[in-house]
Amino acid sequence: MSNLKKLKFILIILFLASCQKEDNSDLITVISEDNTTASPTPYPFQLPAHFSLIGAPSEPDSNQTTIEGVALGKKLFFERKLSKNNQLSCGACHQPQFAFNDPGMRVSLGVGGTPGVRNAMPLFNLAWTPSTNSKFNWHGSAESLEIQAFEPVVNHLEMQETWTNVVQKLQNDPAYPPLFQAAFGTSTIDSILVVKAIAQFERTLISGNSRFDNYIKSERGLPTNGPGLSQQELRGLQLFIDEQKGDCAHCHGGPSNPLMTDNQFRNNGLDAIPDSGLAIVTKNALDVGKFKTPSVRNLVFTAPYMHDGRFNTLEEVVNFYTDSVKESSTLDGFMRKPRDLSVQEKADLIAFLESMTDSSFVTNPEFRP
Amino acid sequence: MKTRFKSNTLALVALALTSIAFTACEDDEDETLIETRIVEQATPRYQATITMKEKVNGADLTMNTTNKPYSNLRGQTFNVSRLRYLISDVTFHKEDGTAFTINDYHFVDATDPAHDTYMPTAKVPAGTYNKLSFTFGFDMEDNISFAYSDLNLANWEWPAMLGGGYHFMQLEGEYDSSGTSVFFAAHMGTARNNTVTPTTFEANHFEAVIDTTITVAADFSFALVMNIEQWFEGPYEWDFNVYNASLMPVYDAQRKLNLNGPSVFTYE
Repeated sequence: MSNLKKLKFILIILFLASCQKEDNSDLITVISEDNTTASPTPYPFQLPAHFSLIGAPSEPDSNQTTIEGVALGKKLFFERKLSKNNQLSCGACHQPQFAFNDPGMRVSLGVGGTPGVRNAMPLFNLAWTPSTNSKFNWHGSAESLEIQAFEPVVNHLEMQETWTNVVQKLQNDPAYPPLFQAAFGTSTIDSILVVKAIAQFERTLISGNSRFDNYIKSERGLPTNGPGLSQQELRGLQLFIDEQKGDCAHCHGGPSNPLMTDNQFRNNGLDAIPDSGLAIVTKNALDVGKFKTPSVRNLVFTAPYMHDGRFNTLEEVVNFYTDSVKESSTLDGFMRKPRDLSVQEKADLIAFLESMTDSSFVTNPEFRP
Repeated sequence: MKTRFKSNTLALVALALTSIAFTACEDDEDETLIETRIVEQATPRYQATITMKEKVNGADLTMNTTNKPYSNLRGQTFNVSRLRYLISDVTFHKEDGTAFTINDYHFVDATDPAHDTYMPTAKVPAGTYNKLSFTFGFDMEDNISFAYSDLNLANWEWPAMLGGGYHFMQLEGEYDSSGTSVFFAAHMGTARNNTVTPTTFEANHFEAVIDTTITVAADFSFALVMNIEQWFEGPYEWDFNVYNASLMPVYDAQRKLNLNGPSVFTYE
């Protein structure tokens, strides 16, 4: 090689070497594709514009949401093989058309019609939870969505199955091993991967397209999907926020928090001798009667109300808070003070609650089996 | 010899080209880094670690007691079931009148150990400071409705009808009123004065000032202590029978919290 050629060669190498940051990343992609071990594709969360108010969805490092994981999770969510008699899926008690609640049941029915002890919780906006208090279920028995999904399968009032059987049934179904391979890089199924996939699907259930959302977006100068609040609903919103009136916002939040819950646990005074609630988990007497604050979104789809489904209508709920809160040692402070609302104010408040109805959520084909 | 000379020349050219090549592909981030290093060499900066503590009459706060272990100057006994608060703009003052402010905030939920430690995002320049101050709540510049996603998620907003922005504090519990337990909720934020026309909204934060000498020559730590009894002691001697729950829209209550607040914090 002549000196000139050597110089040209060095020149090329130098420029390649000095600017190689991007080249390397391309190279990694190519190698990955060549070996057909491509990683699953990160799931592109489609968030309503005003959800920037509460930051990005929260995902555990050990279970990042992917397109393949969500697809598998949806199939598993509606999979009846998760139950002992192959008749019940998660979706039996959490039906999309009822905001992933059950259809008007006071308590859900398990395998063979066995009644449970709690009203099924609706499922939406589950990817935003406080960093240190991300407990799930009415009484906080699950530390994460993944852990939550373990329980119903083996609960003797619910699916009454064993995980060993579930895994065997799924492994023997030719549809599943390739889906697990695509989502998790292995076709060997285990219960951890099953609950991970279900949790991924659940994190995609985002509801933020109601007239109240249009109101928030309008106030923030963001494009809306239709009309906002009527005059009556605006009056209801003020009652919802006003500490001397409804004072709902201290627990359920206001226009800056589209979740409409604080995800905390409180005793709201349903009974003078309360159900154990959170204390079942914490073994702390101070937690007796505390249940998770539910979101007040999509209430028109989720009757009856409260952890035991005792109230059939929103009128009953509002009348309870104004007239029938029961004293007990763990009663939340906000429930101790009187709430005086006129008949008109109650109607306004309920009108506002109903403005948080997201019909597009319950009809979204992405969330159907 | 001749060949060797040529070879050396080639090496020198290659070395020069290497420098050019690397310089050409340096990005802005690297340049910023170099500039930052120069500044840091001139004035070293050190990390502050601030522990947030809550006490009553010198003893660590015990929450959610079934009895009422604390008492105000009027002899009204009380307990505490919830305490959340916000501080911002921690500032280190020098004798010559200059100051270094950390444009940052820290939210505390006293039931959550994760909030006990505040590691500000900015490091403090080395030096000797003779005064420490911070804003309790947000000043007008920072008290911007909807602006902070973590606070939104904590249901920390202050209603628009009361001036908007955020809560500064939620201090709740029960006091004894002639043998009956009564809920109190000292929630603090912008003070709405609807006794005047038109209604005004008054900034209700205060500056907590602590005279203490802090020499910053390495990473350092200290504690800020909220002495809860001070909210109720003076200058206004708090009467729970007058001011208990639903105080957010009560102008006098908001201003009295502001009046009593500056003496609440001490330094450890």
